[in-house]
Amino acid sequence: MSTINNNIINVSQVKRTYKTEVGIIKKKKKEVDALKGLSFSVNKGEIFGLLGPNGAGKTTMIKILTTMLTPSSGEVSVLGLNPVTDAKKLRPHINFILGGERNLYWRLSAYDNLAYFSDLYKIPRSEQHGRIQDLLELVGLQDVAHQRVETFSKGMKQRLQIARGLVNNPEILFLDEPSIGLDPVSARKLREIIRQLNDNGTTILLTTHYMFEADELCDRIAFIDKGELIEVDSPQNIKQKTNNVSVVEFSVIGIEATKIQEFTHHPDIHHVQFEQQEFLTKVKLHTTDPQGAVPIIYENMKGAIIQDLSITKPSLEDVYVQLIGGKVS
Amino acid sequence: MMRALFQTIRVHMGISMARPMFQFIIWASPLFLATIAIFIYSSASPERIFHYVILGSGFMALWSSIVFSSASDINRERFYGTLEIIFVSPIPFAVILIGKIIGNTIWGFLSMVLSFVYLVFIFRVDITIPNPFTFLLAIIFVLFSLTVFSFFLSLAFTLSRQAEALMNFIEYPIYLVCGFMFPVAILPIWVQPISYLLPPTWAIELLRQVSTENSNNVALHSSVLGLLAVTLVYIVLGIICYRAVEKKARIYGKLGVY
Repeated sequence: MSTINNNIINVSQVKRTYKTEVGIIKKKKKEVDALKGLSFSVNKGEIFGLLGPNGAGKTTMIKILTTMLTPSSGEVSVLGLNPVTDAKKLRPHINFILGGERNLYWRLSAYDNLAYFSDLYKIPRSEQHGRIQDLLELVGLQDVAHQRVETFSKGMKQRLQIARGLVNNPEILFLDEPSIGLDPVSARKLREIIRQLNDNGTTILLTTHYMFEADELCDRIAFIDKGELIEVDSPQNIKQKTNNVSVVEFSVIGIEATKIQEFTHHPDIHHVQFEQQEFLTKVKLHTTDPQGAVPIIYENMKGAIIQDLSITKPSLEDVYVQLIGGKVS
Repeated sequence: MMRALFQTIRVHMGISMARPMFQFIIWASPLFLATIAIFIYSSASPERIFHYVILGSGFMALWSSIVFSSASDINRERFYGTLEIIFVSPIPFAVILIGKIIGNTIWGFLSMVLSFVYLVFIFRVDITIPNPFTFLLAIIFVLFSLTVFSFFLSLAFTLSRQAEALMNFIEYPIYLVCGFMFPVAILPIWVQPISYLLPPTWAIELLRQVSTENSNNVALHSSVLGLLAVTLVYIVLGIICYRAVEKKARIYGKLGVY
């Protein structure tokens, strides 16, 4: 992975407001601020992750960077070009993949899809055939090249989308939740492809909900929430920022949610996360005093059965949940 | 650029014909329309049958196909999730749009020819065109004009998610207002100005004029000039709308919403 410090994407104080109308007869105009002054930059050759909950503004940001959307205010530069005013110059050098199964012609074969998109990206005919074969091989679809896309599984469609996004050999590839809905094997294959592309020099900006994916792939990540930047740094540095925090994790049987929420009143417990399952509740406490927290847990949960108690260092997901999720989630 | 245009025509024609509904519109619907028209005009003169049955039913087939090219295809691209992709590809969106319209116009024209053949072979309708070469030139001009009009309509559909409803709304009124199966002159006076603002009215009028045995030169010239004028107006409107769409689609951000 390259560490050249050469910004090829610069985003400065970008705001984007969507205007919608609500109601049928008496229409009321409603404004939603998707981005509220977002700033970050991406270095040449890196994999940059944009992470945040649903509605955080990740897709809006990608659409602005890929010339699909105009920001309400702020400055954006991609490869030194303004995506709003220099869209025509910029488009041949970038490409994007939006997650899910759509964005392909299902009634065409994989090969015909790539051939058509190659024409739309002005790839010379002399290069097309070889490049399409290489791309189909890269995403493991060479054996089904002439089958209609409608016969493909979700994972195959998503891999074909990756190939589509590479028809013009882009300098920057934007990936919006590329692994959404994929089974673990397909998701792993996708991560391998992303790493391979990056090794070949493609700068990648991706959004994802999967923290382990971001941790594994990204050189740097930005957490955004409600259109605002929360944190931007390497996954390592972000995790180190919570170095004095430990995660106490356990399962408990026979306790009500309100009792778990009471932990938030304790000064050394910074975040409480719990998930109610069929027979038990899984609880995670973020604390600066794990040794002190353990007796408090047993004290507060008298009569309940506590199992699998462990003390670990926070993962990227723990940091994300702590930063985005507030005191309880 | 030209390669992308031809590829769009080819790909689009293939995708369209893969849909059963489109197959019905192109291969079956014209036969029903032609049958209705021939029963209505069965006792009319051969020239009148040519003007109102052959051209009328053929034009209905052509129009249905073009309306579909303008509205449903844009909506379908929106549904496929490919509208955003083609919108931001290096090939101008206008070229892709025109490619799609030409693709559907070719299918529509074939549908029109099918309607002719059906009437000639099944109902033994006599077709006599006094000057086939002039008629051919007129057909090319008509197809060009309808493509321009369709381009203008499709731009409205690019921004609107209600395109499907609008498409259904305008499909049949155009049959009536543009006088596909009867002269526009029998329409109420207040409807006629609307008719003459629409290229299909002039288009079918031109084809009727060039296929009339002793055509009046004044009437022929006025229909040529009329079609030329409305075509130029829709070219200008199309360019203005295209620029607005290019800007507004990126402001509204609804190309991917279906």
